[in-house]
Amino acid sequence: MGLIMGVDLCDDYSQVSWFDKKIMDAVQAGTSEKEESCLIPSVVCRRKKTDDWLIGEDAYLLALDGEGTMVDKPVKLLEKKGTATIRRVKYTASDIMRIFLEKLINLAKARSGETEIESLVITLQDTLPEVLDAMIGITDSLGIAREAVHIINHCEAYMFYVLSQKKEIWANNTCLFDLNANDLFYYEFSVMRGRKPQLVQVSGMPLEEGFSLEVLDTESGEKTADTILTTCAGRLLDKKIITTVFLTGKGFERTDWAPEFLRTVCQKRRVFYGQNLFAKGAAFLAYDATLPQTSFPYVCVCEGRIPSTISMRVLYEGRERQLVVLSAGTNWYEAKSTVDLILESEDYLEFYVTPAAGTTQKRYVVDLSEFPARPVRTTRVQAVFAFTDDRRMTVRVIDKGFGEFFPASGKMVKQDFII
Amino acid sequence: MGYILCKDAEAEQPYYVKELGLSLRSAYELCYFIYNHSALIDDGFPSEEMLRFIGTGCRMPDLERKLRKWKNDGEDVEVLMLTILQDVHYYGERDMRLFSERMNRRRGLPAAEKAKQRADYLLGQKYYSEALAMYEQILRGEFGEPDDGLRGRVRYNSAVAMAGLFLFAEAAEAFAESYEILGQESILRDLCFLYEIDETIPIRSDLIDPVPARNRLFWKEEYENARTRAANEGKALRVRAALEKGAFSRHEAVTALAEEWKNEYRRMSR
Repeated sequence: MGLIMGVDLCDDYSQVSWFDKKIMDAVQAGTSEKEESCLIPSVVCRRKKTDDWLIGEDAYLLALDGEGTMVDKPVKLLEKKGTATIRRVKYTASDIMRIFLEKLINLAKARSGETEIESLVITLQDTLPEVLDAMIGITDSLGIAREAVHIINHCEAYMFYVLSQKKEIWANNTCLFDLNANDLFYYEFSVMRGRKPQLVQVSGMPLEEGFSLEVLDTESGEKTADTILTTCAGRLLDKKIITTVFLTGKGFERTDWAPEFLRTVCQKRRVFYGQNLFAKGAAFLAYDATLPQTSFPYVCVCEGRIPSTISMRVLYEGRERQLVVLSAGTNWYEAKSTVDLILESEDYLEFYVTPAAGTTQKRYVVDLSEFPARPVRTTRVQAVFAFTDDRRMTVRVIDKGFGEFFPASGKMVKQDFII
Repeated sequence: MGYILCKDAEAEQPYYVKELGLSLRSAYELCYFIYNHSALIDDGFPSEEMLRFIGTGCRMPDLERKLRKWKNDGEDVEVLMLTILQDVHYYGERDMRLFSERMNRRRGLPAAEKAKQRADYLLGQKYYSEALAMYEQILRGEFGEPDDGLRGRVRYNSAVAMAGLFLFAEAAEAFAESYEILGQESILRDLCFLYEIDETIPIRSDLIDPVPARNRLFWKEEYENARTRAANEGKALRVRAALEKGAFSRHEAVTALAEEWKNEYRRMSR
């Protein structure tokens, strides 16, 4: 038992949500009880006099008063492995992010009354491998158990948010417009029926029509922005069966500036707007991770998830069976599987890739001719399957010999595949 | 053709096979041992230690229970071995059929023949002393009274074991006894080889003289050829290589060789 929470980390605003088991829902955790306080500026500020740190609006105020030194855009800093020197102390990007993340977690702890973390899901716009590694290092340093932490992208967070809503919301396709400080993103969620398990697909993309929110400071700017969004919506929703539209991001804190856009999206559709969508999606996933069986029995295909099932034909208890090594829809960073096999007489390892959204299976082979030649059934190998992004898989095969009859040679073969 | 999926990690507590000087760490290795070294398995199989290895080490408690019950009920060891192979599914249909046939033949063998198979296996592995001890048990009738044919074959193999232990005089006597029972000329040839190796062995003229001179000459040539070959391969080459080294390296290499052969002799004569 402990805190189950989601954190949406972005360079402009970050958000926190925690899962309240009493109401079985994700709840926002802002700097106050107000809705708008859930948007926490992604800045940290070190106070000059006492060396403590503040985040969010408080950090801005401190910096404005000249009482502290501020660092912003912690995600970008982490991507670039940057540093920040404050009062002659050099802080790495991980240091800054660690401070920021710890403060966000404390917000959720304060709201929920929990002190220990049971499950934490962090969501980022993009999940670059270096950033993922750094984030795991940061959560390790915060004393959070490795298995309690998951990191996902916005596509995934949106997907879990939608799947956690009533089924009527996503019975048909849904979409999301995320308007933040400098960018406009569009996501689509669809369910492919007629398959077991059902396939859920989410796609996301930045829109060229993104604009700075400063544009909304003037009436003419608002009109222009409304026109831009209306054109986007007209193009993106044309001839699609989309019955629910979500609006999120700082830009949609108020929607009175976009009457035409709203008219367009509301045509025969339900429209929901509010903040915290990604953080809530993360919190829902954090809760699901604590369950013995997932409450999302779907194959989820989106950026950040492996698009295909990796399988092998093996002999088990004397019969040929299909062994699923990795399932489509698994988060690529967490997709890792180790299989121990005894080769009958092959000098290669064969596996199959089946796309989630298709039926054509493709065969791949790892050449093992480097391994020592031995009698039949006396070569045990350990095959490790892992991904370096959602399309690149590495297969490592290690020769384990056959006990003391045929000692292991220690040889390893590694091959990369683009799935 | 295929890949056998290994269910479990290897056993933390391995099972040591004294006769082979190695440990088994999985049910698959156990099956390999049974299939390829069944001659080593006596009527006491599976031992208590083996049963625990199967149940706990290999995580097959159902198989352990079954074997215990059947063993207590007096089931044949061949059936127990077959059961293990069947339950582990390491071997395919064809291999299982061949093993089953082998086990059926073995079941029909008298105890003394089974004991000889075990002793012959030890002989093949150069455990000469152990093989000899078993041959002597057979000849003493500890596995039932051996008939002449078995006696002759056992005496012959005893001779081979004795020769492996450099007990040439004793080996010659055993070859002679074997020939007197079986009457095969090839045994006389082996006897002649011994006479060539150790000239101090008294020759059994009553056995050798009736052999045509032509055959004896041929055997002598055969022996010389084998001796020449041996001088130019294997251990002889290693000795030569060691002696050709510089003073300090030579000493080291020769010491290592001597140590290796001492260990080999200890193994043969244990």
